Amino acid sequence: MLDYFDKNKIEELILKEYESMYRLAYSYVRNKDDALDVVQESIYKALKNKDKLKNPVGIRSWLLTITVHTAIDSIRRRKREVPCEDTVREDFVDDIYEDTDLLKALDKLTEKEKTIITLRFFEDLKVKDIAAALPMEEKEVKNTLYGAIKKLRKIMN
Amino acid sequence: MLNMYLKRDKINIRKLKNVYDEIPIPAELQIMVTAMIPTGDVNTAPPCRSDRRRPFHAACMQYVVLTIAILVSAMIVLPNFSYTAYAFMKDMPILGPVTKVFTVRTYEDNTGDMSASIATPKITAGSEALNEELSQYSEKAISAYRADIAASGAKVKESLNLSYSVVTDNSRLFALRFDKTISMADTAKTVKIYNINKQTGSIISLKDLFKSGADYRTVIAGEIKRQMQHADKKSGRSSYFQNYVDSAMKGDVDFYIDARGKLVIVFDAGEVAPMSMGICTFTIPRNILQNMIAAGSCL
Repeated sequence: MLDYFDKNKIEELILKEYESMYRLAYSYVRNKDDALDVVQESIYKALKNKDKLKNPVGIRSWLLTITVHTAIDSIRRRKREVPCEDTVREDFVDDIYEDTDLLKALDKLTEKEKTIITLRFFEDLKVKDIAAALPMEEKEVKNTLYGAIKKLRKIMN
Repeated sequence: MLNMYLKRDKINIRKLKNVYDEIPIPAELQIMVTAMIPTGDVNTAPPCRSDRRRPFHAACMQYVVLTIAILVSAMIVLPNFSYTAYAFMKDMPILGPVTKVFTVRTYEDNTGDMSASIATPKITAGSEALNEELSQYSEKAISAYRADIAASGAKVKESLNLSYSVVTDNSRLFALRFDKTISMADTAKTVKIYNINKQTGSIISLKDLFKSGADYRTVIAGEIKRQMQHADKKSGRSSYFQNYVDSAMKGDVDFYIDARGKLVIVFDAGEVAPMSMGICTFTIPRNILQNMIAAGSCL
């Protein structure tokens, strides 16, 4: 059984969780190549910084939070870059997952709301683990969660 | 308070989670992660930003090509210089990483109103038994066609076409798909897929992918029905025969594993939907099968 608080098990955890990391990254960047880049960079950051990890943050929530922050950085970087026609990648054509329309509902939330909804409901992290990893007060996480659920109700209904 | 919200909003959250869980996982991901983890070399910086603009799989491809070149060289040189290497390599997978298929026979016929075109493939490095099995499949189609000629005196319009294609070719699996089309008053399309374990050279069936006793057929049938409902809802029509899925799943199920490592179930035309919809395929998300997959399975 993997100990989610043992930072020496980070490699083992990555091998177990890389698909979750990819889905998480994809839900932000929405294309395969950028999601792969985000996972790659997140693993690099996690391996490099594992000694800085302080208990009681669970390593799973820590790893997934790194992935979220890396994905958000990637989007910000992409917005700053001015695309040039020659660099438009042809492989984008079959690179887009057709059901992302529903995920677009998440884009109407703030970054913080989206992150908390994703980690809580899609990756099943506990509120206290999200609070420790972001880091935020538990109460703030809960309030953000309530607000996000209300917004989603309006968007989706 | 949170529970109260969840009760009212759980449908929305579940919808989003279903879409999230079904985000396709590319095959390159596993290669990338396993390449990073064994070394644990954290002092190696990730590629610089300009490099990362290039798709990761393109960067990976360089290493894949280089690795294949080294492996092929080693496979040629080593057994010729070392008995130990020869002794080891003779136990390597039966079908190599590059498996070729060619047509050994094409049966063409035009008799009266009937015509047929039937290809018989052969897999290079495939065992005699395997190639015999493929040959017999084509032979059966030829025999059935000849029987139809004898029965009708070739006065019935019938056109038979049997062709094949490779649907999977990776380090562990090779899958060859036969597509048979019989055009008479109606057009019947059937599929037969041979999945071959490259390590053993043997044909694998759906049950070989799962643990003994696992109720994978019920789980897969449930998922297929869910996808049918989703498609029907999207199209606004009731096209699929959901009631036929359970019985179709009880029989000999055709399947293959796609490039993303996902199980794809294939039904003949008319089996779970009207003939006009042709061959129906359903991709099964890996997460719903996770607990049932056998150790060392090709899935």
